[in-house]
Amino acid sequence: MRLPIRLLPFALFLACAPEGTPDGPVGGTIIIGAAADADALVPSLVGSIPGRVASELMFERLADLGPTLDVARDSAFEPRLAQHWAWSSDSLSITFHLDPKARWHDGQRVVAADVRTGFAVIRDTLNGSPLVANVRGIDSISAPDEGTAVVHFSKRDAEQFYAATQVFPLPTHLIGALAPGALRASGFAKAPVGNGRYKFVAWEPRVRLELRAFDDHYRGRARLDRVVLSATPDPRSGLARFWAGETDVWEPLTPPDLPEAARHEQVRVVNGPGYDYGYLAFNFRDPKDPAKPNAIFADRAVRRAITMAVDRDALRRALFDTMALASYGPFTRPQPTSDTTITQIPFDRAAATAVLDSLGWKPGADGIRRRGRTKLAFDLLVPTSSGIRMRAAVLLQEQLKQAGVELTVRSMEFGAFRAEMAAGKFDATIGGWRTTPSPSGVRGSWGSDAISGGAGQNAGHYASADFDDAVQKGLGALNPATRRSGLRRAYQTIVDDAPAIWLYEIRNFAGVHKRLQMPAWRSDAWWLSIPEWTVDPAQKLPRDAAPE
Amino acid sequence: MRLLSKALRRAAQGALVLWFVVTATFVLVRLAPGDPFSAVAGDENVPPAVRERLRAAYGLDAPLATQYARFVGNALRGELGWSITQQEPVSRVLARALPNTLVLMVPAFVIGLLGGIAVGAWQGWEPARASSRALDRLGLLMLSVPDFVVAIALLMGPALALGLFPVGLMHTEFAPTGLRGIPDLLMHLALPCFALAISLGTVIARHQAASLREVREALFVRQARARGIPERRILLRHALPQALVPVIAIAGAVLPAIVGGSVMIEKVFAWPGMGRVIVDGVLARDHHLVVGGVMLTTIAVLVGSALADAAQRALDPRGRA
Repeated sequence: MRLPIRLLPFALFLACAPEGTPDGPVGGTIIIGAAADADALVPSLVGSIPGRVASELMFERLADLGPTLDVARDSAFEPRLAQHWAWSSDSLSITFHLDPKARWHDGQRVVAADVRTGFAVIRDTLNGSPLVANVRGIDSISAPDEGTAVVHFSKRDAEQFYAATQVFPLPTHLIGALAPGALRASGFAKAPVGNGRYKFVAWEPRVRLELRAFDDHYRGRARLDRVVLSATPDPRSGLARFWAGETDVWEPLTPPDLPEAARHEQVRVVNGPGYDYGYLAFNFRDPKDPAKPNAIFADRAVRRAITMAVDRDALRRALFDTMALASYGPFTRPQPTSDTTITQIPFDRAAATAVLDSLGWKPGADGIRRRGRTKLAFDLLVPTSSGIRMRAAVLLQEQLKQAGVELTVRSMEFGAFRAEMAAGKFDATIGGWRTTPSPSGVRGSWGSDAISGGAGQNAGHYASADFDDAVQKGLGALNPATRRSGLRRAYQTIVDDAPAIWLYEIRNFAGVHKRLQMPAWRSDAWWLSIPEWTVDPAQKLPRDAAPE
Repeated sequence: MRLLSKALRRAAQGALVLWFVVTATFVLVRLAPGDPFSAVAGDENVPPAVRERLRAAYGLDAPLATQYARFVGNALRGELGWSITQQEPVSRVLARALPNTLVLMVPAFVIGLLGGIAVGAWQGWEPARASSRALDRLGLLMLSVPDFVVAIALLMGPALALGLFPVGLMHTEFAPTGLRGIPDLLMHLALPCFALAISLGTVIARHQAASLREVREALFVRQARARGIPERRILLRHALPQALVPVIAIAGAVLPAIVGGSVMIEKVFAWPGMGRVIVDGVLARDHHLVVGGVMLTTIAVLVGSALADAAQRALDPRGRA
């Protein structure tokens, strides 16, 4: 056979390309190991990472964050169900034009009413959607025609567009008639019909979930045939399954796992910036009587002195080696508004003891400081489920003892830990937050509005009008520079006030089977790129065989 | 008539035990700090008011006595309630997990029982042999090692380091199903079953050995020897049936411990059975799921104990009299 000379480059390209499509091989299976099963499969109801993995492969947003992860600019977003969008002249509404080729997995077209249904599900309080705070700024969604959804906002905000993308369209023709609060228990929630590049196949709760590539997806078929989420309740066993090659992905890896990873030739370690930060939070209220201020931590100078007595670098190295970075405040580095130039309270034990002395906290015969009849001693609440926090508590105990501060570790089962936090029955606690590309979570974690929030929110009762004001101004600013400066002021205020000791920012490490080839690891939502992952044809395993 | 009366009395005792266990579990689980919505809607983004509404919608805001009365009423109608974390009836969750637990426990129980009897018989009949003494010491060692340590050692050794067995779950992904899937199931079953069987087998072996050592010196055994009956026949036909009577009673008594042990074994080997359901239920404060699981487990233990008693009576000539 002869080819015209002009087709030769194309023929050469085809000859060199792997089997399947010109973009790479098609076929294969990925088994994602997880320590817990998905808590739900409908994205509006999901709170856990396994739930997000499953649901965000089955459902798409109107637009998704691109590589810059800048939530304040709509140009940072890539079209998904919406082909394009336009702002109203007053910037109080965005008109999304849906891709006419977008289909639900049952073949029905994705229409604007589905966007409205997705919003209604989040707004229905009986559904308990974790997305409810993210869409607070959305006033309503209208559907002037099948292919056009208009999102209306109550006020202008830098993250308006991001808020709109938090709404996952849901199929009106399947769930539109459900009674309020009925979605979680519905058949749809157990076997959802999505619009993403993978469709639901089977779910054995607490064991496994299987998804398969949706052939008719409007953006093209995913390359891997199957995605399986395999739950192993004991993390040690889950990791053992990963080392044995029974699963293909395990996240996160911890420092002791890295030498082990090197012993398994099929394992590749990937990493990226992390969105988790850890802190020791002080309770501003008396644990026995929340109406009263805390006898120790109500005093800003004492909090600062205790912070000064903690060698955070040594602590971080002991816990994570190089797998964590210094934390500079209630944010993480990948967030566009992060600022590592915030002035920190330095580690200086001599200065800390001098400050405590000057405040009247004098060492007693046992080395522990006292002021009058009050001992400089407190309980540190930690959940037994977190080995890192348990170890951190012991290290902090030792460090603070050297400054004459007595710390008693109070560890308890996670459910009980949350309940104690909600009730404010703690002196101090070691906590952790997973941030998102949006910095707005800082308001829900440390703002005074979140004080009455109970478990998981501003449980330490930190309240600062300056901080609230700076956060409000920063998050509300439309100009990027104003936004950054506002949030910088907020971060500096909270670091100076020392309602917490910012301990570490954890880098994201994961293990992936070497036969899987993938684009760059996106730490905030690595699973979103799974449709682009491929299996090296030379390394295929029996489980990579085409589904029957 | 006497048998019927005994059976009725036994059933009444069983019902009382069941009521006590279920009530205690119900109260303890509800008194434990936390609630199911920490798991279902534990995200910090869910406003407290929403959580309160959810609690009210599921009746968790009612006084404990009201909730208990409601639960008893439903249980008497055969309804075990609604699993908040699984969003389906508890009976359906348990129906899915129970067969898996039986697949693990029944062979483990049979292997542990038969293996324990065989080893114990050897130890008890030939106590002076070096192998008997070695088995005795090994048994003592195994008794002092917790189940989960044995399970983790099996996981890390034969499964992970040697690659002889799969590490977890019941099936290899995409392995054949039905009859063709049985070899795969057996490979997955081997280690958890062995881990569970070994703890039962060790207990049984020690009791069997002790019982047989007594019987070995009994008059009827010495008479049999004097009549020239071969040792093997004396052991199997005369001594062992006699020595089995207390062992069967022990087997019934250790059944709850086996059930308890299976919880940890299931967790380590990711076996999707009742143990996992109950542990996950406790961690998520899924009240109805925990109480339902405990209720079913208690019934299984009561039935197992009753069967062991019946077997003991059948083997013991005094019981038949």
